[in-house]
This record gives sequence, structure tokens and C-alpha cells, in this order.
Amino acid sequence: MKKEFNFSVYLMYTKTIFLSKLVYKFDYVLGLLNTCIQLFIACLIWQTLYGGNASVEGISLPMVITTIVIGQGLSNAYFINDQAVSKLIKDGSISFTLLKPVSFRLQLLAEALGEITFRILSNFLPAVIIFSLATDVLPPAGVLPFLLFLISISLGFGVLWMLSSIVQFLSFWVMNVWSLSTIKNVLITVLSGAVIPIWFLPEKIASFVSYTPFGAIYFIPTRLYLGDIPPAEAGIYFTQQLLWIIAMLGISHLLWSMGKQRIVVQGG
Amino acid sequence: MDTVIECSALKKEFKINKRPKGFLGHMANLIVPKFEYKQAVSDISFRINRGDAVGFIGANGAGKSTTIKMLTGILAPTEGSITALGVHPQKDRKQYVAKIGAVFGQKSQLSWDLPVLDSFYLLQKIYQIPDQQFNQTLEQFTDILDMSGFIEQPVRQLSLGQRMRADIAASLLHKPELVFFDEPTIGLDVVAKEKIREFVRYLNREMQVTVIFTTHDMQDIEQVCQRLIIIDKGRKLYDGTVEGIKSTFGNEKKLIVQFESPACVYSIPGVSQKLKPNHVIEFSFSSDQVAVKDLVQALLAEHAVLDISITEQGIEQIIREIYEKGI
Ligand SMILES: Nc1ncnc2c1ncn2[C@@H]1O[C@H](COP(=O)(O)OP(=O)(O)OP(=O)(O)O)[C@@H](O)[C@H]1O
Ligand SMILES: [Mg+2]
Repeated sequence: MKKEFNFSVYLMYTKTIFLSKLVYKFDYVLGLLNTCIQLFIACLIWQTLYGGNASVEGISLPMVITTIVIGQGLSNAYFINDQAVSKLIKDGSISFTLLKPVSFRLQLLAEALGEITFRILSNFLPAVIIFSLATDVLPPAGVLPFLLFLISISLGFGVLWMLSSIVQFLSFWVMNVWSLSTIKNVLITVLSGAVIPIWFLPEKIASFVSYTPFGAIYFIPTRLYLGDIPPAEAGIYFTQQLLWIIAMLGISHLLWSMGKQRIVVQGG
Repeated sequence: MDTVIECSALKKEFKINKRPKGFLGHMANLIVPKFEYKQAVSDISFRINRGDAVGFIGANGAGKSTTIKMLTGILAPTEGSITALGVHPQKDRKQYVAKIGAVFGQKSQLSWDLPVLDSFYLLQKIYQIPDQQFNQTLEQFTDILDMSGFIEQPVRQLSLGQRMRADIAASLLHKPELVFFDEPTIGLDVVAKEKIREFVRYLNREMQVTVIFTTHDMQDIEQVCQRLIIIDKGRKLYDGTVEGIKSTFGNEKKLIVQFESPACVYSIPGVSQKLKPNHVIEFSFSSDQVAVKDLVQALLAEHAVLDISITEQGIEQIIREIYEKGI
């Protein structure tokens, strides 16, 4: 059996979604405003908590603000619909998806990337620029830390995507993915360090987080960016991120292989 | 001959959540859900050869669409096996679906907001159709399916008949060798139906495409298909030629005779009589028991006859009787 992978097909899915988002101009102005307000409030809270102290537990206020802007800003841009698969099943359009000679899972990823690329360009980057001008967002610790950050942030997205794909494929068994998705999102918000940097979590929780994939999404990349992880140690953290991706890919693959037998197409 | 599809002992069971009535039943259901199994397809086997045009018919809920979905690899059969184009439709899905086409009359695969042509370009990318082949096919389809008037309009602005033609074209741009049509003429007017039949006939006869066609319109079958499979309650009732079903089941004839004055005809073995107004009597008989010639001669010899007409049972009627009584 010949197996060919055609990148251009998937790129087309990404492009189609990206272009379709350009139509709704009002949406992205509102989205940017929303992100800015969120980040502004978070910065204000941390400023108040610091109460004029230069640093708390060795962490300076600008470090915290940088962590928040990167973590929370990106989490607004990473729009992943956990209910994508269950929606396809409910409205029956999964039949046409499965009738195309395209990998279903890569198509899901490609389409999600279309939306995310759009949001990074229209929402995350403008917000970063605005906050760099208005507050103390730190520049990267250097060229090398910045490059390592770029690698690590991509791996971080991989971790997030795998978490979501596990939830998505559970929809073959669980009718209501919405509650699972909410639990997952709350865990990410609280434990990923995007809202409360992991430095400040109680020690027990912080050590618990180190056994979960949550810290690998935003926090490891941000620490590399700040130089809080020395470039020499980056390899260990990359390995950690990769292992999470591989482990969850295995679970997700298993769920998909078993679940696709259970696909039911609704409607005549 | 070259076998395109071989399926044996196909079975599909759907699991249905059976919810008891009332609030308590609702709560009990949340804790211990009760399920019921519904057999959509019980036992279906057949073989389809290259170049066949097979009509797949059965009453509502007989299991036609379910069978088509299994054959296209969308649904996994509960039991039984399918080999199509030499592969396993579900395991080798990507390889398989590149070579088949499917039209579901009740659903559209086109994007609601995009002009028809844009959806076609997306499909060109997905199936990686070379430009030259694509343009040639597109021109040909636009011509035969008469699409030039609406090909630049968004799908949501199309009439049902236009949308159906666009959907059919979309499913065939990649030149599949095996095509499934699930009720492609549903809700269409006579002219639109004719266009679609003509197109399917062209595909089958000129392009040697193997066609499987479900419909509730027997004219579709008579004009497009050589072979007929009838299923009922998930089982195969008949599998043979369209002509065969007429000669096997359609041998009932009716002779309608108008007499000059009220007539009393003695009962003839094998012939039943029905009295109608205006001195008309309707004689029904089976053509392999009674010869029309003998009957007419006997009547003319004894009575003054004004008018005689003879009707054969149409396929529509045959099928209706099969659905009602079984074989
Ligand atoms: N997703 C589903 N869940 C539960 N039962 C289903 C499902 N899909 C179909 N069925 C049942 O399976 C049986 C066969 O349905 P199917 O759609 O194959 O019929 P059909 O022959 O195509 O009928 P029609 O001529 O009305 O299109 C029906 O009794 C239907 O209720
Ligand atoms: Mg049907």
C-alpha cells in the first residue's frame, strides 16, 4: 500500500480557515480589546500584590508581567474547539470528511492552526507590542534564549494539542464533551502558570504540577525566554515536553483507533 | 469478470438509548442507562462487477443508506466483511476513498457560503487533480449538467435541483471508478430528474463507471440500471435483472372490456372478474396460465363488445406488492 503525505493539501486547509477569519473585521478588534483588558487587569493585580517590593522570592515584577503576557496572551490565541469532532458527528458532516483521501487528524490540526495563526497575528502580537510599550515586559534574555523559546513554545503547543485531542476523541464514548473540556481548561488555567506563575504556587502543588503536562505548555517556554532556565539545561526541558507529546499521542491514537469503529452517522 | 465489491453477511446494529418516561425514569437513566439494539442491516451479501449499474431499492427504513455508508467505509459493520476495489474500505480508507465517489441526496458536501466553483477548486487540491484534467472534466460536467448559469453563485442561493447537480459534479471531479448515489433524485422535478439520469447513464455506459443507485422512483431504475437489488428490513429479497423482476412477478395482466349491454360472463378458470360502471368488466389473470388471445376470442364469440384494452403490471406496482406482501 502506498502512503503519500501531501503537505500542500493540509496547508490549504490552514489557509482556507485563515482567510475565512479575515472577513470578520469587527471580531478581531473586539478580540484584541478583550485580551488587552484581561492582561491589564492581571498586571494591575500583580502590581498591587508586589506593593512596591522589587522582588518576591527572587522573582521581579517585570518577570511576572512577562510571564502573564506570554502565557495568558497565547492562551487567548490558542483557540481549540474540543467539540469539533462531536459536532461533526452530531450534524452528520463527518461522512464527507471521511470520504476525502486526507488524514482526519491532520486535517483537524491544520484547520485549528489556521485559526490560531490568525489569532496570533491579529491578537497576540499586537497585544505584546502594546504591553511592551506600556508596561515592563522584558525582552528575551538573549538571542539564544529567544531561539530556544521559539522551539519550546512550539513543543508547548504540541502538548496542548494532544491534551485537546484526547478530550475530542473521548467524544466517541462520552456524549457530553463539554464538561470534560471545561475541567481540562480549568486545570490548564490554574496549573499551567499562565495566570499564577508556578513560582508562586504552594510547594506541594508546584511539585504536583511537575508530574503533569500543564507546566510544559507556557511556563517552560517563558522561563527559557527569561533566562530563568539556563540555555545549557534546555535539552532536559525539551525532552520533558517531547515525552509528554509522545505519551499523549499514544493515548490519543489508541482512542482514535478504537473510537472510529463507533462512529455513527446521523441522518438518512 | 472483474469484481468491484464483494460483501458477505453484512450486519449493522445501532445502539439506542431507551429512556423511560417521567422524571424518575430520567434520573434512573442518568445512573444506569438502558440500551436497546436496533438492527438496521441483518444479513446482506452480494457481489458487484465492474461496469455494473445496480439499483438498490427498499421501503423507507429498509437499510439502504446504512448499507451504502458501510460500503463507502464511513460506518463499520457490526459483523460481516467487505472488500471493495481490492481493499478493506475502513482500514485502507485514504487509498479507497480516492477512487470512489458518493452523493447523498439529502445532504450537501458543498460549503454553504462559497461559490460552487470555489468548492470545486478545494476538491481539486484535496484530490490533487492535475490542472489540465480538472479543467477538461469541469467543462464537460458544466455542459452536461447545465451548470454554467449558477456555478459562480454561493450554494445557499441555489435551488434544490441546482444544488444536487453541483453536488454530483463535486463527487465526480476526481474521476472515481465506483460511485454511490443515495437518492440523487429526491425532491426534483421531471426535467431535473431526467438530466441526472442521463448523466448517470453517460457515466456508466461511456465512462465505464460502476454505479450503485438508491431511489424510490422506479423510472430511475428502469432508465439507469440493469441490475436490481431489493432489500427489506435489512435482508436481501431480490437480486437480479430489472427485466427479470417483470417476468417473474409482473405476469399479471388485466383485460378491460366494455360490453354493449349488461353482460353475464361465465366464470373462466384462472380469471377473476370485477364489475365496473358502464357495463365494463375487468378480467385479471396471470399471463402464463391464460392466453390473451383465447380469452378475447371467447368473449367476442359470445358477446357484443364495444371496447377492449389490456394493461400490464408496471414495475412500480410489482415493487409495491413486494414491499407489502414480501416475495
Ligand atoms: N444513527 C442511527 N441510530 C439509530 N438507528 C438508525 C441510525 N441510522 C439508521 N437507523 C435505523 O436503521 C434503519 C435503516 O435506516 P436507513 O437509513 O439505512 O434506511 P433507508 O433504507 O435508507 O431508508 P430511506 O428510504 O427512508 O432513506 C432504520 O430503521 C433507522 O431507524
Ligand atoms: Mg436512506
